[in-house]
Amino acid sequence: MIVVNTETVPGHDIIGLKGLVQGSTIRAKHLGRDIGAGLKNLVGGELTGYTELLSESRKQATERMIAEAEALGANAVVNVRFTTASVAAGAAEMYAYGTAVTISRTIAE
Amino acid sequence: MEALLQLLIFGGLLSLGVFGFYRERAHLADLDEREAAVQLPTSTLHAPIPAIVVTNATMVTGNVVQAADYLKTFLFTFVALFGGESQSLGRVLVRARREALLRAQEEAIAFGARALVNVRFETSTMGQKQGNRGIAATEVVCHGTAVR
Repeated sequence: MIVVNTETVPGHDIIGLKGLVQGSTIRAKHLGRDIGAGLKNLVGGELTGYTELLSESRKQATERMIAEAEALGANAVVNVRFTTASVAAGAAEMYAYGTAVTISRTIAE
Repeated sequence: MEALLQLLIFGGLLSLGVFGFYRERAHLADLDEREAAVQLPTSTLHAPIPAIVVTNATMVTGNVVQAADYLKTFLFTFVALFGGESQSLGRVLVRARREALLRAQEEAIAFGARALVNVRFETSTMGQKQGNRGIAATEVVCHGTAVR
């Protein structure tokens, strides 16, 4: 599965459209990490707990999007975008969406 | 006595989750039905696939402001305590996005579109959060270009 955020895949032609695919998740870190982040807020610096939370969420959302594309019989997802929503304090909502397509290698002329 | 009253109010609010459950089920059934009716090639790309000769285009939007019921927001406080994924809140947002996309698609169909391209989603939060917990309400906007 090729996942790109460009319109086309270099060296490939898009031969078929499978449709819009998406994946999303809402995750939270445990209370300990929330308290830690609150303390870190006083002194400044990277909130590593929340950095971790966001990358976990992004990974999970992407995996779900890929699973949806596979179910449609696509072999690539192009033009992938990420967006977030703030739903509750300490929670991260990550939403990944893109266009599932079938591609094939460009035949050199 | 007062404590009992407060407990009753709290229990009452939690039981509203039952309505939330039935409303969610009705909404999902409605979405399935409308999605099946919409046969429109939709993509986030700039040009429709398969390529068509475009004679006219217009921007279409669909937006929805969605709130979760009291029970779901309450249950989220436990997820926040131990960490992990909140599936019930996730479903609320997934429904909101499907609804927003459907509204954009339906507007495109009313325009006579043969395809919907360059689809984007945006979210924002509306209303007040109560202390540490609570979805207030989340707004989802879906916009794209309908071509015919």
